[in-house]
Amino acid sequence: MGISYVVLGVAMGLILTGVFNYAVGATSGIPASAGVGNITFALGFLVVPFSAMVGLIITMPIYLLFVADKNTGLLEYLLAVGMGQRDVFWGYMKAALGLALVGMGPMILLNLVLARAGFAYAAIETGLGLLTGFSDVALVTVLMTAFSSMQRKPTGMNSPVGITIGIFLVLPELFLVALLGPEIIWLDLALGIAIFVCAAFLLTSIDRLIVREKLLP
Amino acid sequence: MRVEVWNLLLKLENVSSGYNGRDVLHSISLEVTEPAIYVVLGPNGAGKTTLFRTVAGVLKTSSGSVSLDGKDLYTTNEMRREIGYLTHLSALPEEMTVRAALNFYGEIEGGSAEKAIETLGLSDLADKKVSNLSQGQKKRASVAKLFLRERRLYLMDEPTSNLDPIVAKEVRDIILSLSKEKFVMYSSHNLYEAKEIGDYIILVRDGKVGFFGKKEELRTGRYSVGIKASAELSKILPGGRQEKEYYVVDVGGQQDVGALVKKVVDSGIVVYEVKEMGNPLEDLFTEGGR
Repeated sequence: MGISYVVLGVAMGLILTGVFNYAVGATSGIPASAGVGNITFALGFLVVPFSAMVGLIITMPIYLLFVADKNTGLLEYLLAVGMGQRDVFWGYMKAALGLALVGMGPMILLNLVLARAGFAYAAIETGLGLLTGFSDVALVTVLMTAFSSMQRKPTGMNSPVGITIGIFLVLPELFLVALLGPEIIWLDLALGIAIFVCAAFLLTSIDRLIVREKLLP
Repeated sequence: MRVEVWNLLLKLENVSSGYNGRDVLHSISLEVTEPAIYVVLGPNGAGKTTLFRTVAGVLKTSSGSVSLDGKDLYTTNEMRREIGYLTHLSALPEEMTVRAALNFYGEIEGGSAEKAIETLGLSDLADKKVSNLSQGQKKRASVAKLFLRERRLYLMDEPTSNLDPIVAKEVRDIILSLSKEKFVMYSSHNLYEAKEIGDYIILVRDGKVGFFGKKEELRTGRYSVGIKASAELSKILPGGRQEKEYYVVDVGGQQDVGALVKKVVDSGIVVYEVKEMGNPLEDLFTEGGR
């Protein structure tokens, strides 16, 4: 199951990136005065919310694995050999971020290579995509492990909720692209920083969010 | 042949622990100093698993202290390395093979997967996925985690539950071989198994230790079975007593009932009903062992 998600996520990311850049090229002749803002500029920035979405989809198996490991007693055994709940959590977080890189990396690289709106914009898109994508994955991973540590279902029943929260956070970037035009960069930056700050705050509260005894089956 | 005896002092002093701020164990004090098999008995909900989790360091105490050789268990991981803990679940990653799972744990806590596979005779299972193993095979693979390296104290939470008699015997043999040099604590619902292989009995009821001592000191009742039959049974089964419509006989355990009924049937008498009239385990759990 895990490899299928990776392949699906990478393929989706590459296809989407190709489509955005094609659209940028196709709309480059539309003047800004046509009333749709600088659509060429804005379309390229769709890589920011979609890199977050690809990252979330590709890391979904990690949340399912966490609940499965809890219910087989594996987390209990890790506590018994001397790991703390923080150590256990960071193992899954590293896996989630690593998988997110596998999903987001190729699409962001492709975006840099194609750079239909210009390399400078592609570089900014890259920075914002990585900031938003990793922050979103980190935030959702904290929320889902905190919620999942209270779940007894063998499958991660809260995974759809977690993914939905993560996608919801980047939805404004999707819908406001055409309206904001060049200003979308500021929305992307503000959202990226906000998600990063939330994730960082929750990460500092891990010991309170993930109670040791909730890791037991 | 020289047998190396491992010295150990496991001490629980007024230990209380539990879940969600509610104590399940209440002021338990114990000292374990001799390599032997310590069987922890108790009804469901008595606190056996909580006791094991507390000693293993999985649960922290709300009061009291747990120490090994005078060193607090929770201060450093040094003492926790001396403990091997077998949970009542397999605690094995389902999608890994047995060998990969043991290597995984070997990387975390040190030790050799190949040594564990050889000790438990798991060569035929080593390259199978954990999810494809039967219950008994999973238990054997799970026990193998304890043999990744040497330890002094083995905690086994219901190691023989849900196992067929052959695999249960294999696990009991492992426990017996360990106990010659090491300290083994295991939990069970089976009084007969406890008395067969245990050296010491720790009886836990309502989160407290009701009895801790050698098994010979444990006083239990006998197993009573009542038989409703087509004829009088006192000549075939002397020493019994009539209680209403049942002729009641005291036997050593559940394992003797079959032979008893066979004796009645072989004499040509029809058996209408066989009923458990008294179970020493139930009495033990309600009244204690003294």
